[in-house]
Amino acid sequence: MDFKLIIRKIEGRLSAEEQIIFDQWYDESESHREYFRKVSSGYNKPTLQINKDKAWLRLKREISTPVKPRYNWRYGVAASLVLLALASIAFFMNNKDDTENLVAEQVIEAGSDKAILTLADGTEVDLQSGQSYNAQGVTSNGEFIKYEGQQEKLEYHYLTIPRGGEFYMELSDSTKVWLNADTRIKYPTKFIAGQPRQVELVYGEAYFDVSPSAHNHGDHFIVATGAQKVEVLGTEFNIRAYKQDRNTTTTLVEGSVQLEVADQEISMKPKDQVTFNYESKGLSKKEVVVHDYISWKDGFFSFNESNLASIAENLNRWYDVQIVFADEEVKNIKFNGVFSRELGLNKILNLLGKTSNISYEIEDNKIEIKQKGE
Amino acid sequence: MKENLFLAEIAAGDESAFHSFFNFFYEELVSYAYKHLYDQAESEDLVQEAFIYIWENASNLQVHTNMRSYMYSMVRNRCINRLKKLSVVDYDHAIDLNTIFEDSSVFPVFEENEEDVHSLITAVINSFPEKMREIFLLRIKHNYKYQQIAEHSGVSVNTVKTQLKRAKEKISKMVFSSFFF
Repeated sequence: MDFKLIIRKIEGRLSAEEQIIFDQWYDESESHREYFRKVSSGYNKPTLQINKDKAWLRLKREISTPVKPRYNWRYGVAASLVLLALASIAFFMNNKDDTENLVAEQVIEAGSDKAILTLADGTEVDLQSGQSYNAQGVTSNGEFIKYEGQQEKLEYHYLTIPRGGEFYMELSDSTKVWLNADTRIKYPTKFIAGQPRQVELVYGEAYFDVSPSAHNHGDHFIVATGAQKVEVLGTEFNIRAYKQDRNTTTTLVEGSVQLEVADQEISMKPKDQVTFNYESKGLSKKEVVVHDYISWKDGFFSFNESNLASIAENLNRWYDVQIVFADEEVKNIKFNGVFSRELGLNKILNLLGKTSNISYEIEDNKIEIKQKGE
Repeated sequence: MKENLFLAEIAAGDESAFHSFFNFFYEELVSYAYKHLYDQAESEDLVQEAFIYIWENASNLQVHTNMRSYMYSMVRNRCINRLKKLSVVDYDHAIDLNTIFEDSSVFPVFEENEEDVHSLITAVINSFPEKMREIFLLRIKHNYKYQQIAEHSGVSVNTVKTQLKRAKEKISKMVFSSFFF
């Protein structure tokens, strides 16, 4: 069908013959109707708001040659961050070979892109580097999964990221989701116009870059976790709701969100972080350095006055290990630093050891951290 | 053409040249894609892909005219392919014509082999009264600002605005009427 007929339809100038042609096209498919709706609402509207700097960052991420191709899909990381990481590592290195342990020690490699896709009928598909998956309107190259919204019927899928894994997905409305290790998300294969776009973070940590409601018939986007609902109009935020955590932490990067939890509602603005504690049912809001909470999606650990206990939790998930402490005191040692998640675990522990008084022992996937000389 | 110089630098892997090139064209190409797809996210993705293509293939591109028309062609072809999937065609270039004449921030140019578009544009413009045609061409072809057009044609800025507005109405009537059947 000719594009002109769409314009004439909008302007109410279709002839009887054209009307027949148009109706036939219109009735043919939901994708046709959706296109018609988009043209109707966008035709002769003022110019777009285009953020070319943000677009450039996104492009840069695609074209830069990363250490490993697995970072292709990531946002270009601010150079300062990389410099900081390099600087802190260089500073710790002192040009000394850091093989202090003469015994050949076990090496623990970094995590990688992997996930399990669970289809509506319960079928499980392993997604990992080198394995691609293609079904109607769904593609995965083993590093990310993308929904095109051309599915015939609405079904719910799960994506489960094991410990030692991470993954990236694009939902059918173009919303981008980064998924951290030990995370599970439930989402529909397509969204119905006129209804809220709802997904559920079953557990774990995810960063959302939500496609604006303006591109989705005004439909809001909702992220539900066991404890709360976050409703958005198009924005970027991080939600952390690990099984072991006794709370859900929502960090807003851009835009604005409305958070509903236990009969309370709270609005957030950028840099706000809201923590909901399961036991006290208490909500607290504070302003944070956003970067510390979202650097994982760019491939970094960012520790800012973090104690070893919380650092260990992050390391456990990414390296799929179990860190134990020789004594309570060790847990409370604080660290600052930015490390690439590409580094092997030994490297990170050595670096931590250089700035403090700790040493470690690895046995299989169990690691004991103690104070030196114990 | 200044923008052709970028190509050699991009081919040599110069990221800052590529960044300049990107800044030069990105917004107008997204606006142009939007005139086809009416979906900003999709338009941005499509233009992004076009830039990636340039980055990866800069060393063996055959650009006969200039980078501007090359980019426009590339975006246009990709958009047309998307529309094909929706069983939408635009044989009469209504989208292009409407874009040229409606949106002053977008200046689609065409490869020399796209003669039919050129002749269409000519046909449309030739039907204008002389003064309107002159003003219009200064705006479209030379990208003059209102003030420059006014000085050049010896009329007031208001006249320029009025003439362009009328030209636009005229075109939109033509483009989406039975003019081309």
